[in-house]
Amino acid sequence: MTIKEQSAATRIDRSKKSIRKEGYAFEPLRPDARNEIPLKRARLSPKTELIAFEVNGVRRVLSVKEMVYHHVCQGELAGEPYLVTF
Amino acid sequence: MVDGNVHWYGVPGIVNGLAVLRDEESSSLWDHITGECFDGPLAGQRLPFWGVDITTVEAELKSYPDVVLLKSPGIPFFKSTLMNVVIGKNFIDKQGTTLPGFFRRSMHTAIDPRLPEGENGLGVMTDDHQAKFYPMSALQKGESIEDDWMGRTLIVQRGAIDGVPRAKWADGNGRPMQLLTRWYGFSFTYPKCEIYEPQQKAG
Repeated sequence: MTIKEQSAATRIDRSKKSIRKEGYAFEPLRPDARNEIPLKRARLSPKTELIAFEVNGVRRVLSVKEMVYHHVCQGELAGEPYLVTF
Repeated sequence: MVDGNVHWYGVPGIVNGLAVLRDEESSSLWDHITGECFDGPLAGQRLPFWGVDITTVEAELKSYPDVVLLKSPGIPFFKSTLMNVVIGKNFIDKQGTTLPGFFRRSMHTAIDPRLPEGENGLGVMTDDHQAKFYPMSALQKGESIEDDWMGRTLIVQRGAIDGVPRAKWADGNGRPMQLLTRWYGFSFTYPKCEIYEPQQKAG
């Protein structure tokens, strides 16, 4: 099987998509300094699930439950733009 | 980054029960797993992508005690409730899921029947669309398996604390691209992917 045969453009039936013409179904999270808190002070249960990512060696975590709602977290970290999706 | 410029993304809906991204600059649609643009002016382009790690607070603080959380400003109650139905309160260990009707209506074909549609597992893939799915049910918490794939040996280990499976190459050359995912989503994204099957013990 070639790359072309499995590329998104060929394996996705665009007539079946359920997509808003304008706006988003979920509000993207675009964090700044006001959204940053040390995890150890966040008062989350030890079993709370997280998404962890690193940009240029700088690590951040997101709550899975919150990302289920936002689906997208986009911003800049360590001088680089990033996009995390769920 | 698209052609050196930052594009801003959100999720306007779903295809095959999976979130689709749209960028505000061109209104193109993008596959959120592979980073491919499949519709719109930028069709054919692909975002560079890398893996993230799913874990728990307990496991994260053990390795990174000073890590910073990016906290959401808030989630509407009714949407939080809907998400709990679809994903469940526990994503890592939960097997099975309830797919809403609008998820199914966005699917262009039946879900690959080789595994239960809500089976959770680790999907591992290469840049040329080779992929393999390791069902969570085949991996024991705190233990690891070795598997020959793509001419190399892959070690898949489930964390003792968080129970999350992670894959790395046995030859020490890093980790393949991977994600914790449900079967229906992975099989739509990587049709005809391989499925790991534990070897039967002799005797």
